[in-house]
Amino acid sequence: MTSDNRSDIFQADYKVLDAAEKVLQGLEGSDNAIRPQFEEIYLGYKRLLRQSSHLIIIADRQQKRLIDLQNDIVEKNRELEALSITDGMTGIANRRRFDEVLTQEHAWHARSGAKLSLILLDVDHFKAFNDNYGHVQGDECLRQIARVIADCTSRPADLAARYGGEEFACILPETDNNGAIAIAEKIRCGIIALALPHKCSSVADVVTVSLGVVTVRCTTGASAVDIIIQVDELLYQAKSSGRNRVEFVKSCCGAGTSSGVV
Amino acid sequence: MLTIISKSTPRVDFNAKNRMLIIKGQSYPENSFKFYDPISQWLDMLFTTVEDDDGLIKLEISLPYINTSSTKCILMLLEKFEVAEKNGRNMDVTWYYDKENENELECAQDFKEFVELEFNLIAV
Repeated sequence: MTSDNRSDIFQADYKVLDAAEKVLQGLEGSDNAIRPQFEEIYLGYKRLLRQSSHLIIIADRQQKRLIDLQNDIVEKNRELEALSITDGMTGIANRRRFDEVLTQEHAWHARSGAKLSLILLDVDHFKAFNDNYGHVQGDECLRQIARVIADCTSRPADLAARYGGEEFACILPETDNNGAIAIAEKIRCGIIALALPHKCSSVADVVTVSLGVVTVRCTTGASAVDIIIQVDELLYQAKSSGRNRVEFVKSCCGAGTSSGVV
Repeated sequence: MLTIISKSTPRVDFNAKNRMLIIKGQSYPENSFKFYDPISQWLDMLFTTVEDDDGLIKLEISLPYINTSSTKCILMLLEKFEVAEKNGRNMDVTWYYDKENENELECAQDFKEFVELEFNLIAV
């Protein structure tokens, strides 16, 4: 019998038992015919009370183990969820997360009418970098670039993600074109400042990136994919017009583009 | 020989001829008493009909999960074995647990702590 139970939840039960014991002691030596029957009831109750207190202990422990287990599972699920939206190599958001956030932001901006900006960027001559310096260096190069992009998109709602192999993307909620271009420039300059040697590049002797910037007012009719198509086109233009530049839609003439090389 | 199988109840094999009771599996029936009462009655029958020199009475248990009312029923069954052992019966009680499942071992140890009955704990 555990003293714990005796002192708390079974206190009332043991009071009944103690009272019965006193009655039994009072009947000691008497020839009261009820005594043997009463003693049997007393012992039966004592045995069942003992069993119940054991039952409570076992059940409580079992329940605690299950709760601990459940907490572990919840914690593990959180870890797995975090892993499932993170790019393993660079540590920033992965494509899955990017798609998810873009869909959410697109829907939100379609309701609010605010401007949504997107940056898509690609490392210049990255295949040549890999071929020349090896994939270990290539991976390290992408990690450092990811860090610069993440540092440049530090507002709470901003999202920096690895879009594909050497392509990265930034979602910039409630950001106008000038704001987004400024961030893109900061990224471009930040990556040059890393001063990662790239002797096979036709652009510079260090690693550079090309960027496309698009700012849209989302409409419920258009899909998030339409924004990707636009920004992809701008990135392509940045590549084809010499790389190491930010390409965006000139606000004065709508469809026209201009190089934003600084 | 009787065998009961359902999702929320353990597999129960009762073999009167070999004096053997096996209870294996998760136990969370809606009505534990209804489930365990026949087993309790078989045991009473076994303990009253088996002669002392008939040999061992064997009990094998494995309970990966057990709800509270089943715990009460298992306690009652084990107490029957406890009493029978005190009355001079030869018992062989074995509690199997999954070696990957720490909870199962702890649960078995909890029963062991509160029942005055020798039983083997075996990892499988």
